[in-house]
Amino acid sequence: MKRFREQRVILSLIAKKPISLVSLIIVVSFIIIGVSAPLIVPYPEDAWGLTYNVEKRFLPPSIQHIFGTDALGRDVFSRVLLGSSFSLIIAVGVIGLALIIGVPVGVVAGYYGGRIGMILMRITDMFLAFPPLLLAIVLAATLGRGLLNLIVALAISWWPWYSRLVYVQTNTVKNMPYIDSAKIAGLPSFKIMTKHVIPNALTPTFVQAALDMGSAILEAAGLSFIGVGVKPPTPEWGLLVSEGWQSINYAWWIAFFPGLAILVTVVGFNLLADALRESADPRIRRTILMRLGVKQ
Amino acid sequence: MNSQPLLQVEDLSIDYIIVGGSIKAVRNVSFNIHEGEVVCLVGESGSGKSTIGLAIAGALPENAIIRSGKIIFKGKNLLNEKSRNKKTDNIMIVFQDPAATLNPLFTVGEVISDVIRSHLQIRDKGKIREKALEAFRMVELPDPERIFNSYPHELSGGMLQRVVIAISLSTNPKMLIADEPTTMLDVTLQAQILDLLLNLKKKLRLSMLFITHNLGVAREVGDRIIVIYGGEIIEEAGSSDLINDPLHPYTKGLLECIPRTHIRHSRLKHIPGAVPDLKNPLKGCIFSDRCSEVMDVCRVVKPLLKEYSRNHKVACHLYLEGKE
Amino acid sequence: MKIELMRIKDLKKYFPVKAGLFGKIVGYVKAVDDVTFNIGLGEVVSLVGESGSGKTTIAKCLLLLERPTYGQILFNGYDITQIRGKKLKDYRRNVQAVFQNPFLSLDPRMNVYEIVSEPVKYHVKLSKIELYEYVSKLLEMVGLDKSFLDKFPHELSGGQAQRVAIARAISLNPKLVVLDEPTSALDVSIQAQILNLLAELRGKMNFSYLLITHDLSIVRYISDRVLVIYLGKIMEEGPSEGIFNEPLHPYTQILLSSIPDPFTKEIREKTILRGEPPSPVNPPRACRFHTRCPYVMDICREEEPSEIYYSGEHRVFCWLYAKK
Repeated sequence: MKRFREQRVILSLIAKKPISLVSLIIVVSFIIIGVSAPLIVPYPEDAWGLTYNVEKRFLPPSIQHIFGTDALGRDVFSRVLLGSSFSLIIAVGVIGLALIIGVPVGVVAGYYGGRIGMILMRITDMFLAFPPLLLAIVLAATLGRGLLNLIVALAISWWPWYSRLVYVQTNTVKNMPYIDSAKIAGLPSFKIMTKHVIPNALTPTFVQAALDMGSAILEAAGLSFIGVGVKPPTPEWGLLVSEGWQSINYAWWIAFFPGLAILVTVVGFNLLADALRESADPRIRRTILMRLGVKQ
Repeated sequence: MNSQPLLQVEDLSIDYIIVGGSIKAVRNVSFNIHEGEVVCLVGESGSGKSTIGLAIAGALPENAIIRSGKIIFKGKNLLNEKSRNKKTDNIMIVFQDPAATLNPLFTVGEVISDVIRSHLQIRDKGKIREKALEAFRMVELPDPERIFNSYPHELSGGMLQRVVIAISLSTNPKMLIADEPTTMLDVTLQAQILDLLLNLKKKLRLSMLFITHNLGVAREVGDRIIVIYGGEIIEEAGSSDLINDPLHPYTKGLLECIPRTHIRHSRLKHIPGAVPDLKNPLKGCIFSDRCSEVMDVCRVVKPLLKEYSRNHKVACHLYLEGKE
Repeated sequence: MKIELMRIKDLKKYFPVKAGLFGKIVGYVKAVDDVTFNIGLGEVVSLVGESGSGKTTIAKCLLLLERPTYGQILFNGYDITQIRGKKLKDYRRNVQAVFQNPFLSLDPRMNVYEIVSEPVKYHVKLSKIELYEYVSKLLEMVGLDKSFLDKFPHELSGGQAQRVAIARAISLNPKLVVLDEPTSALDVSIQAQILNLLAELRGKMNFSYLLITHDLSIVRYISDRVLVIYLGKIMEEGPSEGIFNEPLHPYTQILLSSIPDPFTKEIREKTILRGEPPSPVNPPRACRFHTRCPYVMDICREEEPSEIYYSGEHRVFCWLYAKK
């Protein structure tokens, strides 16, 4: 726990402001719901899209169906609830994959510099030159619909941002005397990068990644909405909104609740991002260090 | 010597609020500085010396709280003012790292002009530049015109430190606070800067609070030396008196562990133990847990700073008892 | 009879200076320019110089953190300047380092146990228990007890952190430890503790030290031989006593007199080194020191002084000592 004293102070600073506390609660709730949804969902077959109840179609919100039912008579609440699990999988999958590609590229480019660094960063820049959403759409359309393809498409459009972040951090860390100390101890470059560079350089990147999950969810929803994301009957929020789109005039609840879920989740992540970014502000960092008793 | 000191620090106590408590960094500190006098505040890390300098200059960090005391400058208590106008006080401060003090995006000419304009209320560009070049010449900078147009990264460490001193002198301050101004410099450069400061002191009748951890530097530059340990003043005397006749065991210990170049030591003397934890300062004498001459009373009763011989004050029971 | 451990021959390290859009090489920083000296087994050699002298670059070359541009570094007779792979790993066991600021040279995310055990884990296969015992023993040797094992660098004082750095450096039982300004960042009383520790360890384990510093006052206590470096070249070399009792080179004399020794204000006339340090990209022709030397003669501006043996092992590069 002592390794993370700075992070703990940041958390306490966040907990003090009401908006950031709310955003923290939203994000944590999202994760808990996402993990437990498959177990607690009231109408499992509806949620997974395995049913067709003709007599229950387009029912407005009621006690048995708090979010109403959709065009196929399925409980919207169950589908939205299970949708959180899919959003969680997408968020973790996209960001995780982007990190797996981006971090090694950035660390190697930053640590070695020179030719290798230049080549790797030029490749990164090439990817960064595309408008990210456009790139994702093109990739997703090319790969075809499906959850895995969606995750891969988004990850490919995402990794260069991490690569760039990591590259910059690595450049700072590699000049630190403790890296020299590791070299003198005889550690091979690979070990130095994994044991010393990454733990010290990656905090800002991991923070950014955790918060990017919100944006990943939004982009995935967007891609599914326009039809290049997941396949029906996957209860992904974006797809749910598009399914409810045609009936929005007479059955508003079908599109509304998934849309609300996206809104709340993404706003929660973004507000948390703002709060954390504030604490990354050098002036506030100084305040934190001051409060930890570190001499300026 | 004027009867009224230029600066009077009375019973000053400052805490730093940190996670898990507070650091009692400065406790009941009192001393004076007269006009034209250089007083060296000597202490190691954690002694509170920088805190005192920052308090006088009005530059304490946000988590510092002044618990009690007065800082009386030219008759006014600086701590009283609701919105203290630092510009009219005319106390300037020079820090350890000149590169950190200067904004890399501006030429040093722009920086000094800004300071002159705001402190001396001069509008005329020509006059400002004149004063700036005069300040550069006073610190013996070669080619002041070129320096005026240079950016900090184009100048060497020594030149930068001179520039920073020039900036602080450009407003004709009554008092200069120098916080370890030569600690980061090479030894020959340090000698140059100390020589410069002594010349300036003579020429301008400058009053200075010089903060350092180096007793050798303090001896060279200071008229009087105040030794501070763990937030408390433990000895105060004229420079020669302090060096030739140190009273407090800490002062003696500090002098003994300075390695000398003209003899070969077989083993360096050192002060065993470590600096005190100021979250919970010792009840009695702050040095009692490291003192080789500690007595029972030291652990229980805090010795007050009392004058032992002419102009030589010490806070130590070894000398208080004798007085009885 | 001295057994030679390391011989540095004709060492040069030039750093290219790039400018313009395409990074064209416009010059070289001649950080180290033809340096020759050796280090004996169990000997303490001090490399004294100020910023820009090249002393840190020499250390980096010995530690193979940089590869020399020219010259040889012979370790036990074998040139190590181009070694890689296993030979490099074996060499590293023999040459370790302690740097100036322990808070930067210790990985802040690792605790003391991890820091001190890391090098050993890399070179020797030990069981968990054996490793634990070994690390505890190392800590004991540097004056720290087992309670420090799970502490992190930010929980340590400067002196404690530097002790951890020393424990790590000696963990592989190296033949040579490079000490790069090991006490510059520490308070005077702690400096004395650390210097005593280093002297003690050297006595027990017969390490060789290469001490790099600009502070001559710590040199005399611990060194056998001293080399004075200015702008990439050796100015003077001799046994420690010889250098301090009879400094030959004007630069050495100035370095000695620049030290602010509290006791000798009246005794020694200070010679202040004037002027700015010249640029290492365009160092002065002939004798590098001639632009600032108080005894400069015509020949100093025309021809580089050759090595002159003043007595036995005391050599100097200065025309003042050339026999007519």
